[in-house]
Amino acid sequence: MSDSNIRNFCIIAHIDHGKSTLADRILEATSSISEREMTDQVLDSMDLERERGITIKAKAVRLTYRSPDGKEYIFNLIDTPGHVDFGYEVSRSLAACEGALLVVDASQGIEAQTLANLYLAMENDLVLIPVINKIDLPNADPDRVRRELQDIVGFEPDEFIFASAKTGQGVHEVLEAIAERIPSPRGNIDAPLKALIFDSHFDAYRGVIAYARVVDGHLGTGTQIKLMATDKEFEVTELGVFRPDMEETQSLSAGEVGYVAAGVKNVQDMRVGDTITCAKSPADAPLPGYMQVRPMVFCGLYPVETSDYEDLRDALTKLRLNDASLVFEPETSVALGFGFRCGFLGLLHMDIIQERLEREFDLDLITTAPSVVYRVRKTDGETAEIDSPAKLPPISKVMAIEEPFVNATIITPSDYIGPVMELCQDRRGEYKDMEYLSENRVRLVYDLPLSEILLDFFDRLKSRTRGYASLDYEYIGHFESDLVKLDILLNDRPVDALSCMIHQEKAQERGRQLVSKLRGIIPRQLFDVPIQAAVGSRVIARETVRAIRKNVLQKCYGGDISRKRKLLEKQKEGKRRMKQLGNVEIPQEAFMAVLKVD
Amino acid sequence: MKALGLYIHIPFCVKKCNYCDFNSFCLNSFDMPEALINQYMEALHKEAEIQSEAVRQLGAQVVTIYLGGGTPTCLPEESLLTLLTEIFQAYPVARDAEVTVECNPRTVDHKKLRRLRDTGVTRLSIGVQSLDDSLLARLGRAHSALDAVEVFYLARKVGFDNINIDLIYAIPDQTMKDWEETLDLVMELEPEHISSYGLMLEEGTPLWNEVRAGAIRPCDEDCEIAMYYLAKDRLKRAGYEHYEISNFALPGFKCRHNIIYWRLAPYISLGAGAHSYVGRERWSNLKDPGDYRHSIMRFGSAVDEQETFTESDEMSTVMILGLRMANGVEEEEFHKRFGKSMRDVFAGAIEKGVAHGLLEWDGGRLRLTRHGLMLSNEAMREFL
Repeated sequence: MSDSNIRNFCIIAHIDHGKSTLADRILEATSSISEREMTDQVLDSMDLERERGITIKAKAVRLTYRSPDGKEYIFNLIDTPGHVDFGYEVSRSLAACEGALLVVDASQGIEAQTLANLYLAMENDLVLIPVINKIDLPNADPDRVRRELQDIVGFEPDEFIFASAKTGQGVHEVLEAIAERIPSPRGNIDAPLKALIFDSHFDAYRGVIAYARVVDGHLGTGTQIKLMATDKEFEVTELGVFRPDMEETQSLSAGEVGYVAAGVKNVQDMRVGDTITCAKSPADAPLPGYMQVRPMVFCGLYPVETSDYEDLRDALTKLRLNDASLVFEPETSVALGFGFRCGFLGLLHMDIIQERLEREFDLDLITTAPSVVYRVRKTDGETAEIDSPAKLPPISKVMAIEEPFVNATIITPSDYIGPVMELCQDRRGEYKDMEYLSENRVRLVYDLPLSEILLDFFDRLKSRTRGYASLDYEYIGHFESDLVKLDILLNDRPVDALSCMIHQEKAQERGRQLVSKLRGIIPRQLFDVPIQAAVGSRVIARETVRAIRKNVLQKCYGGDISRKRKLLEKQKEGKRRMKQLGNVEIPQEAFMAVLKVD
Repeated sequence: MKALGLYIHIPFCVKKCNYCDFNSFCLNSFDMPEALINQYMEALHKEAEIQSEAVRQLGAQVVTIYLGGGTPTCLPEESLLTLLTEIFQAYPVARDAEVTVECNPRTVDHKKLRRLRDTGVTRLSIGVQSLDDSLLARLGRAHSALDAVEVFYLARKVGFDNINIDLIYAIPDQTMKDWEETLDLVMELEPEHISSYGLMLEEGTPLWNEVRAGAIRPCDEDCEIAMYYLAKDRLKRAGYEHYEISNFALPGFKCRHNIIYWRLAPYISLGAGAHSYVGRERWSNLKDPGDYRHSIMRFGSAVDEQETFTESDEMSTVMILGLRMANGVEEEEFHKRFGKSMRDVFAGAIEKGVAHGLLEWDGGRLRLTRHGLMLSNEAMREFL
């Protein structure tokens, strides 16, 4: 088949704007899956993805489309993750396409992440097809959204498709537009092999399965390939396409999208963004843009039962097979014992990994408060990167501390500009820009410390804007801040797992909040337990959990004996689930208290 | 000969109190209370007869009998006396047995009390609860303070020389002074025995609902603790021994029946929801009187739950019950019963309790400290 029939495209959309539903309609319309197989949102194969309504890992599906004039096309729909944590994967997915459907909810308008991805697509010279979705909703305002998009991107009025993925309205126009407007891939089948890996997963039998877009040349079973970033060589054992299940083929040529397996046992050797070339006659240079993904958020994961330590290690090792961006190393905490310091792309990534560990591997975990990576310039001229407050060198050896900053874009209805700016300022944001997208929607740009975003920024943003604001951000660098380490002492002993880094000016307030929150969480013990917040040796807040004075079953006769045993057993079970810290017993949620303070 | 306690449950009351979550039912809420009582008594007689066979086969002797409820004295005089008479005939009752009947003011008169005494009842337990009429009203009691005092004197008059008075403290709005006054008045009556309980707000009771709705404020914890120790100290000065967490007695008048429970000695119980423990077997009857009756009449048994204690269950239960008593658990007695050393079996629990000042050794006895009384659960759960 000539590559002139191939259309490689993706869908750019905000969560809930209907990307998955539209993808399902496209799959149905091209009869790629039977009705029997049709579960809602086919592309999101993990339960977790379906429950959360988000796509975590990009997928690719090959579809056959027969247009009304009888021409047959091959569509490769490359799905993209919809969350800021997975920005790099989005950019790789976009790089594998010639066009994109820009799907925007007719009642909401464009959101921050969509805008970010839209700009990425424009940088990659993708042809954009604007689709205004959910026009069947009673509060839909397609004209307003159309004007907004026209202003931002400069679309012509006749480029818009008005659709409802739910009812199927407009789906055929979308298919026709893909065939008509998106160019076929330009690649040279005779040039040396260049294929972009835009995603991968690990298969227990076949090793790493790379999802690749062949740009030049071709790939066949048995081809000796080289990965240009890692310089490692492998022999292709299997390749094929997704329909949407894997279907083996003999070769993949320039312009095509499919999967490649080469018995690679380590996901680190075949990474997203790398270029596959032929070992015998390699390409001169890799495809542009490979970047090693660096974890931005770290936290400690500890098993509740110390005996689960090895199981946790196995589980993390297994998850990493599928996820090159997850890093972990053993860590010891005085409070929590043996665990792991784990690095994630962002908070959602962290949540997902945690939840998978608990759900798929049945582990009970204690998670410590997330931390960013600080760069510490020491008096001896050295620089140390620390991903945990516990690793901060003695303060006498610290010259300056730098923390990561992000450039954040917030799109909000103009009614909420005040509260949003207030929030950003409160979070040490530096105002950069403001722009009206339409008469009542505004794009605000701030530089913010990443650590301030980790601390329930998104929840606050949502509550201040009645859920209407959206947020996107990207890392811009490490900059010096006036930071201190805030320690929490229980019964006069510091609890390492409760320490956090905080801006000097906020230490007092936060210390007070934390101490009062902990007072509510830590149960009364047989003695008074003082809770203190301290910076260095200076105590900045203090409360006391008063000793328990009464715990007695006053009436106990014949019939009450089993009741009494049950009561005591329940109390004992409650105690068993707590962490013993010196002679103080602390419930697990105390370690998460640092995350959310009111 | 093996000693045995016998408990009989009468699940009826004239009125359900605001704080009560016991297995008892208000007679006035039924159309035909007499029929209900007769049917229940019929089942009780049948169960008594069946169980008496088992007791005889055990070769045991009944050393204490306890008629509790509910309010046993809300039964018609004849029903009550017939029941007692039959128990005395059917069971091998020791000559010096302690025979207690619980009663509430306004459910007995001179004649009823005299006939109980004549039939062989040796001990009367009166539900006085408070001698303050406004607090009695708050508790939803169906009597006044004066009613309670009258019953007490009536009981003395017909010859009861072993009387218990039940008291409740930590009632919402009760002040320290209220409690002191009630204690003073009670001490003037000179009962042989006093049971004094901090009010428990049980889920689902009217009082609990009122507190939850914010209509009334529960007694604060510090106040409750102060009331507890006030009673302990006042009663001690008046000659009462504080022999169990909530029980006080003049010398020679501890409740032998309840001590059977606290020693985890054998006891058999009859009636709806009644619990028994014999030879590491624990069982309880169906709670609902109708279900109980039906099951007894049809199958001769109304066992609802049954469990067999392991040795370790029995050892820990001996500890958590035994520690309720001022004498605690005797090392030697424990060794006699289990052939093991208490200090070895419960080394950790004992060490922890002693370290926290909740437990102490008194010669060969382990017992709660004064401080440990109000924190007994903290010490006891370590024995599980």
